[in-house]
Amino acid sequence: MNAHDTGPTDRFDPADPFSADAGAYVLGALSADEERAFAAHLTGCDACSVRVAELSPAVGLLANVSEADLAALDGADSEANPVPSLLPALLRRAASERRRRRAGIAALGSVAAAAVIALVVVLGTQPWSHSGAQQPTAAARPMVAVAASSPLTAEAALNSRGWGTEISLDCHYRASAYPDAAATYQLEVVDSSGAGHKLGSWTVRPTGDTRFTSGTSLPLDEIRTVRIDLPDGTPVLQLSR
Amino acid sequence: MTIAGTADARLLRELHDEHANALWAFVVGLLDGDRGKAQDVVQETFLRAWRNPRVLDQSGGSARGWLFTVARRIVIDEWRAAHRRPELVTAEVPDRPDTDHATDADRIVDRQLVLSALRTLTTEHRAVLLECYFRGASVAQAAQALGLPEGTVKSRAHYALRALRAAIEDLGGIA
Repeated sequence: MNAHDTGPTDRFDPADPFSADAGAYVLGALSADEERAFAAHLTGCDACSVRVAELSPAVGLLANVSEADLAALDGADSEANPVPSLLPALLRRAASERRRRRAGIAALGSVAAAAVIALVVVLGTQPWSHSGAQQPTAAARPMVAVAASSPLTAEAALNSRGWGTEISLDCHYRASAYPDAAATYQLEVVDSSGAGHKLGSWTVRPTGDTRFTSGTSLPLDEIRTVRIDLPDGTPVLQLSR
Repeated sequence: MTIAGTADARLLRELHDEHANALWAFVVGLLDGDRGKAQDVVQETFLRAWRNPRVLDQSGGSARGWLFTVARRIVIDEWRAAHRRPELVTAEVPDRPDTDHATDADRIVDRQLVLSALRTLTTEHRAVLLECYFRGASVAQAAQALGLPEGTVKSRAHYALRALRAAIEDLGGIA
């Protein structure tokens, strides 16, 4: 959750003796001499200025709590307030809700039930399952790896629609490389002017393949590249037209 | 009928095991120690996640942020409903409708969010914040109180503040 930040301001700079002072500075804990020296240093050091700007909001947050609150976190307070076992009641409520939902479906007349089945069949044969014929569907093409040794491979199909372009991705995640990890990726298209447009993100689980469908209002012929990035913007896979 | 061993049960058990402690402490704090109400709110939060598990996938890996946001929504909605009722009875028209209530609610939520975030910090990080912020100690005084070199106090102060900020963001952010 934290401690994964990799920005340069997250680490101290061995060449900058002031680089570890920002936290103590925003807490007001530096000695008068150190504080004067650090303040003077700040005017010429961008990295330390960024550190101060990053850490200051956290000091503001601390104003919401008291010394007693903080002391209580390390005291016996949490033991005095044990978590009741919520799971049995949760499972009961989920089970009864499931039952009600099933009962609701069973209570539909046979005509209505038939309509539901028909709807499912129609939905099931839409183009994104590769078997429908109502809308033209382009063949999916494999995306090319940008980074070496990506656990993700994907095929992308771009289809022109009345509203813009539909992008369907079939993603395969090589689970053996990362047995426990789910990974989040984001989809971006680059238009013919070179501008990027983020289209959303999704999570790939190691178990099985993931299909992700997205769209953009850009017409198909204005899309130059479709790219899959890591959340930090590092490109992983791309497909150029 | 039982759902033990089903996908439903698995999802609920995973959510419960991973987040119940943190969510419970947060909600009990919001409700000023009312365990009965807290139980209802935490249950309702988990059930909403169970009804719509895709939300958890799409929240960028932080199911906890989603759960905290939903729980705080439920509590605030209840506060609003509770505040509205007496006004109807007395037919009182407040000059500044709800601003006081909203500010109070924000303050209570912010306080509990910061406490929840502080719970995720290491005791070493909390100790430095306790000395340097709450007790107003200098780096030298904190170093003496904690039996650490001054350089360690400085770097812990830095990382404690970073961790606090990241934890708050992880829990859905300040109201």
